[in-house]
Amino acid sequence: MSNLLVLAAFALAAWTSQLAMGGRKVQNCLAPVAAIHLALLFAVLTAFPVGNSGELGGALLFWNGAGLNWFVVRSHLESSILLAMLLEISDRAISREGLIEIAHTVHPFDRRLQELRDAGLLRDGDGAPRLTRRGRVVLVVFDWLGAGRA
Amino acid sequence: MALGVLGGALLLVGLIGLRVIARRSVSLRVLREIAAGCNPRPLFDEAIAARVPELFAFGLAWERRGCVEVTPFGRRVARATRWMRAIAGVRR
Repeated sequence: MSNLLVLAAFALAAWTSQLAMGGRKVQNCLAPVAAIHLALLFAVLTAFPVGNSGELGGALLFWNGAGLNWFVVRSHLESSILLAMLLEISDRAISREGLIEIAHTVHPFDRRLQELRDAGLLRDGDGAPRLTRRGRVVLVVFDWLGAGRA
Repeated sequence: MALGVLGGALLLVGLIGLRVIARRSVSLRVLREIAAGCNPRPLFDEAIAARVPELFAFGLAWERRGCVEVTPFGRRVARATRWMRAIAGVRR
């Protein structure tokens, strides 16, 4: 199995995932994205059986690494307040207060809460947002990943 | 072999990226506040305000005549961000 084939198949999976997401945030579409990647990876491995376990390991390692990078970059492009502020000041100078106000408009608090609800991380209970089971799991995982934070 | 090495490098970079998200994500901070039974709104406002000095610290912007302006480095990053957003189909 050629390396180029794996690269092309991954690019196709990323492009198809993007179409399936249709403008939604990546955190709301993890299941369909994972399904697309698994289906394409399985199809490639079935159509072009690998010669040895080293080749299979390399292909799987690449797919996981590239997929993780795709998720991180996409998540950052979608949600980064810093990048949104940078785009705002890229063609005009703005006062500090104005910039903060714009950031609140571009990334309003209520929308952020709604996105967390849409992702299944929050639910409404007793008039206040509560973490769902998935939300608690996500928090435990990311707390572990960010261990040692200031 | 080459693909495996590339994959390993990508996996390492991706894990560093996840760690950055874990430490900086406003959404995760909001979740932590809610889990602790606190109102997340003040923390959210504080996190947004804290991004302005970060623009200066990362060399992306500077303050001139009372206004925040992009630096040449920041302009290049902004251009790259626009390209990447367009390629990834990310809407504002």
